[in-house]
Amino acid sequence: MATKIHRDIPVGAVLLIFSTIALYFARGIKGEAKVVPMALTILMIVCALVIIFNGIRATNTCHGEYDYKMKLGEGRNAFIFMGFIIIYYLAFRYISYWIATPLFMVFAQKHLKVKSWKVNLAITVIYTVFCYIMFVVVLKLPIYKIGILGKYFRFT
Amino acid sequence: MMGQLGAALAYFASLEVLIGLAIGVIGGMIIGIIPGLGPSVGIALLIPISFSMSPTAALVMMTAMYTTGVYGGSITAVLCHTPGTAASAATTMDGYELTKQGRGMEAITVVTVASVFGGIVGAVCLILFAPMLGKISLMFSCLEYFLVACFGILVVSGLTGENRAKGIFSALLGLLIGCVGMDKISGVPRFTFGQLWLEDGLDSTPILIGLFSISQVLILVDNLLSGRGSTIVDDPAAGLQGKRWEKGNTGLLAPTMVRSSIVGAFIGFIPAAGCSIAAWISYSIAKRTSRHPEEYGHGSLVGIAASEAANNAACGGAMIPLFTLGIPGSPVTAILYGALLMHGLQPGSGLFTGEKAVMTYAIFLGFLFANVLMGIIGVTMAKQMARICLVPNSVLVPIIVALACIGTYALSNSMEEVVIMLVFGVLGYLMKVLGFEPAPLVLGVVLADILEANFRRALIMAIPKGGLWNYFLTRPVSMIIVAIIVIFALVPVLKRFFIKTEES
Repeated sequence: MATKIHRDIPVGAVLLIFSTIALYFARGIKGEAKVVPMALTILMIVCALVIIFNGIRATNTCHGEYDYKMKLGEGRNAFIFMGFIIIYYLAFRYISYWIATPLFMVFAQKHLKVKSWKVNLAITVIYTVFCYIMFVVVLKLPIYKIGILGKYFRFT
Repeated sequence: MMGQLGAALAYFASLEVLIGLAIGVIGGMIIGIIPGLGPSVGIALLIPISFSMSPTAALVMMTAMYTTGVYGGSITAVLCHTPGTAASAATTMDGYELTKQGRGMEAITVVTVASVFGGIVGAVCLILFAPMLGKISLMFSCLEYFLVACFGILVVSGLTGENRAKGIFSALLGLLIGCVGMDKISGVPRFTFGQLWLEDGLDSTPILIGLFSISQVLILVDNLLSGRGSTIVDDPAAGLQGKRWEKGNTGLLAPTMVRSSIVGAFIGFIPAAGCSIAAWISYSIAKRTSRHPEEYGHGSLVGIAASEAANNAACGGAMIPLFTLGIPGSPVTAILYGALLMHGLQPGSGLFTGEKAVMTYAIFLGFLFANVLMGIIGVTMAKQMARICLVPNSVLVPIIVALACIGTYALSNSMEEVVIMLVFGVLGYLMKVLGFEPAPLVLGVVLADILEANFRRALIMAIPKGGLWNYFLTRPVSMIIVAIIVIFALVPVLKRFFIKTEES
């Protein structure tokens, strides 16, 4: 059976590709301004190679039994929640913070298993009112400029 | 000077000054707690309020907000892994670990005591040595700023974690991210891909919030939904059972607090260095000189005392070149500079002679009292603040996300900053999963500008002197900094040598 490779090998390979692309763009910078970015990207390439080398060494010594503290494959929940955050961001940007936030709070809490609707709604209302007072009334933040419904939440 | 200090005390009989002090302290703590809103935003918001106030009351209020804003940022750093400002990032590493162990109350108390101690040392330096230290700060130029940044880079070696190559890669990536935007010397755009909003470069605050706060939120979600923990603290039943202050803490923390406060005040008065670099350097010094460096990053009280004493001492230090020379070394002091001018106070020797000297010393005393008041509130509220760690993650997580989004937007009223924060949130999560430390990346971003721009300026300034080496030989301060860097680099080697000698 083929030995499973240590994850530092593919990770190092991705970093190597990233650093090489960054070096390509750094070369395109005009004049002296390119010196530091180029030096940094070259050093990043060296580090990526060291990471790959360490991965190969770990593959040879551990024979497929690795003790990872966290695994990417187990992060499905985190990525689903990141999806929630991205939808929230889009709603914040294109609708309004004061519409997006209560909806996000309610659905996120439900997703994260807050069973009581009363608690869920109470927290959502308290947070939204607190933030409105803090950011709109006190700090006069121009959040009303964001989103098509933002103007309806302007404090005069 | 004692007579002027005595006269300055009389200002505190005024209700207006006392109200200004209270607003500054409480407002600063609240502003600092909200991710993205640091003391610079808070002080800028106070400017229109302070129009009708007396100069003393206005400046007391603003300087109080400066120091307490830095402290406020550390509270969320400890309790929610969400540093309010870049100055609190170093505190996150050990503070959050202590909270997870159910020692949040003790961590908050140590943060408070160290911050107050550092703040008082900074204030004392400001009161006693401002004119003298102001002259010394004039001896610093591009080459010295560059060398201080090099000192900061050396700190990375202590933050790389288990895999040094990954840690160094993080730092290099941070430095590269710091290169994004218009080049400060030649005006050439770098890595902007034609996007106008990238030409100013990337602010470190959204990066910081993303890397620390959003990435931690994703980890909390992961743990919550896979049944590995419903609160931040590992054992909720023991969450608030710890003491505020253990018996041996005074002896354990006092030497670190004294050293870090002096280092912090010194770094603070170097224009462009700032509170965050002071905190990282002090943390690194504490780790390098510790008998138990392995405890750092796993809940070391000494670690949080080091960074907290330094960042608050740096606030006092940063005001020295501001008041004595009119040199604002950071965005916060630049806003304070504007406030001084607005109230008819021209920074320079004029502020330390005649009638204005009494007013100046009243502002410095206000800064000192702000630290004391902050300590009283902080210690009193430690238990209540530590309760945050008992709030279920299912409630805490959406609040942190919503607050991080609006706080980041508030930074410069820009949705692009929110995008940057989210991108770095995902990056931070991936980094943690794959064994990369985010701290060197943050430090790289903070140092990039100081490092490169000052090195290139130093090269330009060295041309008439016959090259960089000859220029270096004419700068005694540079030589002293290089000597300190060499000693700092040799500390672990010397320590290992002495331990081996003791063992043999």
